[in-house]
Amino acid sequence: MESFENIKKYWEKNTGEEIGFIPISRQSFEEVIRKKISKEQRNVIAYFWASFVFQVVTYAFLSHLFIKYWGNDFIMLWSLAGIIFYVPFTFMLLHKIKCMKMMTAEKLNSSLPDIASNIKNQYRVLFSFFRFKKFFELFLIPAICFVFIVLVFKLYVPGGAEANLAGFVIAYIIIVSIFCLAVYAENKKRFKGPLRQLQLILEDLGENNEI
Amino acid sequence: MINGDYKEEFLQHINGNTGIIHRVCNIYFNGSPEREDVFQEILYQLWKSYPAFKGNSKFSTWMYRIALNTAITHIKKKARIPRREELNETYHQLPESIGEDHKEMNMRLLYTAIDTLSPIDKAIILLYLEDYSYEEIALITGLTKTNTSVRLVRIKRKLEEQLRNSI
Repeated sequence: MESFENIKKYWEKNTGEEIGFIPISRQSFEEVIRKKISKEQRNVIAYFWASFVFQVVTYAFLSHLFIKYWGNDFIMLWSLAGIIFYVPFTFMLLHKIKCMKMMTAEKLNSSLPDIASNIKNQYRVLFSFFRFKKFFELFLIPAICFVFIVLVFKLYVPGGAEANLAGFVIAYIIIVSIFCLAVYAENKKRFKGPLRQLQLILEDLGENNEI
Repeated sequence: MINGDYKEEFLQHINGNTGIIHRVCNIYFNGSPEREDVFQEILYQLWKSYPAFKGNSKFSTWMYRIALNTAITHIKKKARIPRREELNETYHQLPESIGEDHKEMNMRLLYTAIDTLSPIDKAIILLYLEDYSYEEIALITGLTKTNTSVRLVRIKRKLEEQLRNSI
């Protein structure tokens, strides 16, 4: 197989249709489609719940405090502040997830993209969502942790945050760190790794400056 | 729309070109446990995109487009980095045999050599080996025709060198 023309001839001779692949039966095809649809639905649901469960817990906790401590202005105010602060982010997050899913669906129904356009599109969608998510995390995690710690100290620590400033700061740092670690692991797996791969492919295409 | 005849028509088309899915899977996931999953994913993507196939291009070209896009997307999901390495000593020392064994070994060598290419170069060389013109390759990959031909020269040279050393 010294020259490339020999390689090409060799390829044609040994990989043609005549090799006789086993035809896909209707039964196995339907099985594959069923399996894939169910997997796709599971992925969408898993992604939705991963981002939504924490917010449901937050709303439930803050609403519970708001109702239980009705009349206690401090608790009511902080609980309400937490809820009001969170609502726009929940709305934006759901909107972004919806847009991302719709773009994927639209892409499938529209004319077929070439590889470069497809990779660029995937990069744009993922990068845009990741950028929003980072912004979301940068502001919301410290703020919501602060609200939680203030409420927990007020309710369960005698004297509240004012009388236990060092404990308050340490607890705050610990809870923010835990959140940051979880977010870092999630971002690495779901966003940074795939974005790096897409970037490598785009660099290979010579398209990295045009994203 | 999704009725028995429609499925039959789709399967007839696919079964006439199953080799395309196998070749794409072999190029990107040869010997990998992901191969079967990617094969099924390509089949699923083809089925989802089938209503949009208007017959403006050859069915095989349409299939290559979807199969290559799916395979490259799968690389992103699994963070599988292209090997970009020379054929190792084991391959250099493989003895020549005859008949089917020899054919199988040569095909393995060829796939191993191709596996050292980047995902885009793999797509280019696969389409070239499948007799697609530079224009068609450029259309499928989204590269320019000039870029495609320049890259092909480089890829061919690289594969020739690798295979010359390995036989």
